[in-house]
Amino acid sequence: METLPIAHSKTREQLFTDLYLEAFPAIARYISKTGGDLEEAKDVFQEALVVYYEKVILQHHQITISEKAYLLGICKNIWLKRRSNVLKAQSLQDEALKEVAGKTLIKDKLLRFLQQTGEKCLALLQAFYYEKASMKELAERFEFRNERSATVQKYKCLTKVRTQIQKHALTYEDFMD
Amino acid sequence: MKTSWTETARIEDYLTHQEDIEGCLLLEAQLQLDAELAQRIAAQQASYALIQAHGRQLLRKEIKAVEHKIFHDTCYASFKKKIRSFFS
Repeated sequence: METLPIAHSKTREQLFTDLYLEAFPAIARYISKTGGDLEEAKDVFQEALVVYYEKVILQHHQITISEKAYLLGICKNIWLKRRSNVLKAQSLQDEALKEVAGKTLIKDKLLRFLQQTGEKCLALLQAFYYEKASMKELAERFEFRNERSATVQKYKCLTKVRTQIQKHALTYEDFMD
Repeated sequence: MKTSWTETARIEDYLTHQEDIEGCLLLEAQLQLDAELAQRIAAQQASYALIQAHGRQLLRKEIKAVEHKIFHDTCYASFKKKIRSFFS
């Protein structure tokens, strides 16, 4: 399985396990009290951990409250947003719902396509744009001769992805959740 | 359709405001002449969002694996019991 590199003093598995044990009970209790079930609580918490990881670990945001309180805040926001989206979805017309479903299908298909046909490229792009790895790190990790070669390859890969997106007539909004 | 990597680099600089004023003006002038350039810029923005989506998808898989371990491994039985009690 393709994995993200460790970007923390702990292994990522240990980090997520610790956060789960520390914060999930309070979040599960909150979701339960507001009418959600266990699966919804798990799903909200998974999404919150992604947000936490991106902000705190990848973007080095300093948090001034405990990790538990921070995660609870994120979960409450996600949960309230989801509930309001459910209400909105109920009032959507059939055509609009079909359009949303169609776009999701195209997005999933494209993600699968990219994973299958350009794993190396996607890993390179992901390391740079998602994990914010430096060109020096990329050159070492992907065994390029130097940073210049890594830079050129990164742009070639990005061009490849861009061409596919154009071919499928997708837009920025299609990938924004 | 022109898909050179140098153009991709220029668009990235333009979108991330790393392009100098001269470069920005040149690209904007090209936009007036090349209707497809706007499509390529839009597609490049979408590419960044797709890469983010992919990164999140991988991270989510790792989190799910941790969750599976916590809810199925016997050493976390009391934790699991505590969580289930909130929903019973």
